[in-house]
Amino acid sequence: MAAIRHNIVTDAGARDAYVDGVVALKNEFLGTTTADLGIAGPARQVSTYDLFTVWHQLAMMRRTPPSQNDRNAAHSGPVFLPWHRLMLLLFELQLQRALANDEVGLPYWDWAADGDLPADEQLSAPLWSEVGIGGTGGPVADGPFTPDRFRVRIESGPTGALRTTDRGLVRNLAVDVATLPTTAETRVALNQTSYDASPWDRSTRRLRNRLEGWRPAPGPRLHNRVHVWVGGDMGPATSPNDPVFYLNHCNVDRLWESWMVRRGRRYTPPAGAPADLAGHRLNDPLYSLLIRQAITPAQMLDAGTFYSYDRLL
Amino acid sequence: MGMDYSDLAAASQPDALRAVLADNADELRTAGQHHDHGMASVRTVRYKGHDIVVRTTYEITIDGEPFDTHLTVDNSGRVHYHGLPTRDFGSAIDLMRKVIDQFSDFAEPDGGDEHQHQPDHSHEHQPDHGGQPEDDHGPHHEHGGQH
Repeated sequence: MAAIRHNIVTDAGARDAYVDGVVALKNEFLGTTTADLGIAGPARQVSTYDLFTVWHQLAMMRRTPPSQNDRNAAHSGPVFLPWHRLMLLLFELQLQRALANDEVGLPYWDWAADGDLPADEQLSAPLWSEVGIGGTGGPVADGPFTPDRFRVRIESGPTGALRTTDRGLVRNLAVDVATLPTTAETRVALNQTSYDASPWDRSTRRLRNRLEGWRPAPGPRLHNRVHVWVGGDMGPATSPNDPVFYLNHCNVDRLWESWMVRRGRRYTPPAGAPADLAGHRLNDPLYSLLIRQAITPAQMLDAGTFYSYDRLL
Repeated sequence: MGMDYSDLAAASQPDALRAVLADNADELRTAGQHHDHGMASVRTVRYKGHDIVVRTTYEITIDGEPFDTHLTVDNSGRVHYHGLPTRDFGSAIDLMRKVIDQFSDFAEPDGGDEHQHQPDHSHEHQPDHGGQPEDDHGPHHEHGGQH
């Protein structure tokens, strides 16, 4: 049975299952060690949860193609939405396995609903409460991801290399930008008639780049702004270290699904686009470390076999 | 979508995950390495029949020590750095202030100069661009200057 993805703020059951699944995957070790990741120092076990963080970091460091600086294997190019859909789908399957329940769906955080509130009320929104996912701090001291239950064990250094650590989760809510994206901004993005366009980078004004948040400038907007507003561990390439990463991206995926329902399941660039777009074309394999099957953007356009949303925009 | 639920569910079982991690051992081993073998940013634009090329490289030190990673600048003059991948900055100086704020490598044991820990709202004001926000349909400004 396909999972249904619910709003984490309005569905306590979805929130509780997500918290339980995250904590379970944080405490599951399948044998990979930090030595296997090329990290110097005494070898430590790497959890299933942290493997997803490693995958995200490596995708970020992989320029596509290597001759340019903009696009990487998961960001700043057309593949941003299908790549993260694959990442979330595999993470959701891990949650289902950990909880022995194939109806568990990733919850989403409708950040624009909070962004419509006055700035001070955004900080006190229910998500950041004890019964949500905890609030701001270094480390976060309330909610389900306090240091006694949730440890950050891998982080990115200034050069992008991973290294070991052992600390609590850090969030700096609303420090670097004061407000979240709004519903009006989100609707402008969804009004775009095309998915992406040349030069397929941070400069385009089509759906993908608007959802990612590089346009309109100056940013950050939408997805990017959520990372910056949360701050702390949501800043570097290891941003999946904070479980709110998945709530943000699940909402981005929900918005993409909303757009496809209106505009059709269309994607560009096509399979026959020039080779310098390798990794971003319709039938190119998505960069993956956690599944053997080669999965393409074309296969990510309709996820109805796996999940649906309780509500689209 | 051409994918079967049971196939992906099977691929998510521990033994399947161990197997694919073994397959990708060489790639995984690069995670702890310094990835950034820098290159110049090359911005090109054709203007009134002339081809303009702006090549930019940065040489940065912090307390005299080289900051050995790569900053890039895009055609609108915004500066990027893969260590903070969801942001861009109006200048390399603004970006480096945020690097110092973000990474514990630069933490000061005594709490440091209070001015180094002020919130960075450069992306809000974009001072290097005259503070003029780009509207939804506005022109794409080109900046040839070194930031």
